[in-house]
Amino acid sequence: MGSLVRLVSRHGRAAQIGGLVVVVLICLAIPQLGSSFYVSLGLSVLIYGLLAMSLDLLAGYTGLVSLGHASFLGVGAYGVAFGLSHGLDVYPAIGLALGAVAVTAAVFGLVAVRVKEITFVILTLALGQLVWGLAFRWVAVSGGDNGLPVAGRPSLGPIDLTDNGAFYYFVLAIVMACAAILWAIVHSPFGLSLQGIKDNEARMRTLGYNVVLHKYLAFTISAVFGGVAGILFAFFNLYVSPTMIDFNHNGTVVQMAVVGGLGTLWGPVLGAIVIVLMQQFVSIYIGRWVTLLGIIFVVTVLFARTGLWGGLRSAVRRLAVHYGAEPPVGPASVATLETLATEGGQ
Amino acid sequence: MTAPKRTTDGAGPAALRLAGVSRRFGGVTAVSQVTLDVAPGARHGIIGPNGAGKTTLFNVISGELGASEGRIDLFGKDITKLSPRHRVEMGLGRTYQITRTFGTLTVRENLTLAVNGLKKAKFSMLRSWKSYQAQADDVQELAERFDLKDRLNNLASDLSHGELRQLEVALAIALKPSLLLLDEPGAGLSPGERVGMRALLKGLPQDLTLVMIEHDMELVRDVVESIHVLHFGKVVAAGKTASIQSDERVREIYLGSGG
Repeated sequence: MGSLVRLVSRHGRAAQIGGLVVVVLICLAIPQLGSSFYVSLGLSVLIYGLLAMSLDLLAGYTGLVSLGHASFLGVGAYGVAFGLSHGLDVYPAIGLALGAVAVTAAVFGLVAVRVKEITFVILTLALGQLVWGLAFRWVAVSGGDNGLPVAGRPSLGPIDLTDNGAFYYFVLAIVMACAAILWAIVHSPFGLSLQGIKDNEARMRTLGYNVVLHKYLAFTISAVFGGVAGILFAFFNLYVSPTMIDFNHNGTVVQMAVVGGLGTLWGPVLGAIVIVLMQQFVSIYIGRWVTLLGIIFVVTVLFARTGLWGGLRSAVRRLAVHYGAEPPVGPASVATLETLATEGGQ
Repeated sequence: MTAPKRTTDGAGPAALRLAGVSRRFGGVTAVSQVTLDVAPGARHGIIGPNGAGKTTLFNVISGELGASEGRIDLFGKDITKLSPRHRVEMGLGRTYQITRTFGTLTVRENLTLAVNGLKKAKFSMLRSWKSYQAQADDVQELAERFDLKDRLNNLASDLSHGELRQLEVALAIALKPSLLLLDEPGAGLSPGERVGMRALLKGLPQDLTLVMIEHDMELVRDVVESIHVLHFGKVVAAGKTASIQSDERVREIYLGSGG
């Protein structure tokens, strides 16, 4: 054990790549387990993981916690369902959905990025409820309470995606591509500017940054990736309804991001795994599993500002110190550790 | 090479010109009818007791507060209505009395943000910020100049107060301003740190115009050539540093009139 820890921490970069390879292998192996239940569980995790990751760009990196992020999942999903039920082919329907997400984000963003902190939370909550209200009441477009069926999945040439196994790989590829783009964004000069805005908006302004523009871009990009998750969700679930964008679900996305670790990018995926698994398994044994979820949420907020991901990183670091692979760190460096977690590694 | 445009006898446009600038908060006039000219390359001080309106004046010059009346010219251009960001683009830099660095970010990230501030690269999204060599060189150079090169990977919140003051000035200098407003660079520094700060300020490029608020008269005497004295928002005295120091009214303001 000790030598393993030493080996891993001496080769930090290699260990990260190794970890990534293991995760990808696990992802690839899931359909091979031969259980359709695991495949749909994997699909839920991938789609909600992407949604929570996209929220992290806004909430974790820019400091704007949105309680209306599931709306973009909704607009993406409804866009597909609406397009398909009005005679569009699959790919034009996807185009329509992406366009609808971009327009909604561009319009909402104009209002939302002018405020901050609690006002932003409340405003996005209101916008989220607006979208939910439209889905619920605008029966001619959304099918109202009955929702809309999603007629068919895209096909990739000869590959038929109606089979969940093949569809899973399609979703995995898209989610990984989106994750790679989001990862690049948070490590770019633009991503750094978002962290600066989160830390001290006024100072960023006197360093020459157009803070509102940067926040607007972050809002829109975050929404578009949320919309991609929505499009995938529509094809996965083959049915869309107002429930998936109600207040509860908007809250769940925030919960995934916070429990997993805001500002860590991978943390929210971990949060999605924990919460989806709890919904599926713990709910069988404990009727009050939502209460348990609430307790986990409160404990995370109180004791681990960078969530499970941050906790995991410090635990690995402590192990490394224990086995003498790294010099012990003083109290001042604990904060540095958290930035490491925030950056998602070097 | 000489710079013929830069004259200190008032032939070219002033680096900074305030004409009757006031700022009111409701019924309170924090800055009242302030008029001053700072020549390019000059080192100018603004002194006055607490509450004299010095920082408010800086906020009006930097655009963080609007002027209630009057006109502000920067290098011959009217900037009265411009946003803070546009003034920064025109070469106006400032530091803060209360340190405003990015505590959750490392010193390297702090400096990179500042170096990128006026560059197109700040919008770049798909390339790591660490891969920009020119910016990395600028950061390294700033860190060496401001004695922060061993602290580049530390969080700004882990720095000592003196180091934070250095970082504060470094952030402003990173934008290569032509006019720098320094709001009490010596605030809260130990006597030893003041020596370092004085050397640092004196080492700033000669063509950089400085306007400095400071209480520490030793620092003022060493760095600036001329002074405006503010009291209750009004300019009560102006002139060369030596003459201001012996000015009777200034002594009264600082020491109380005894009445």
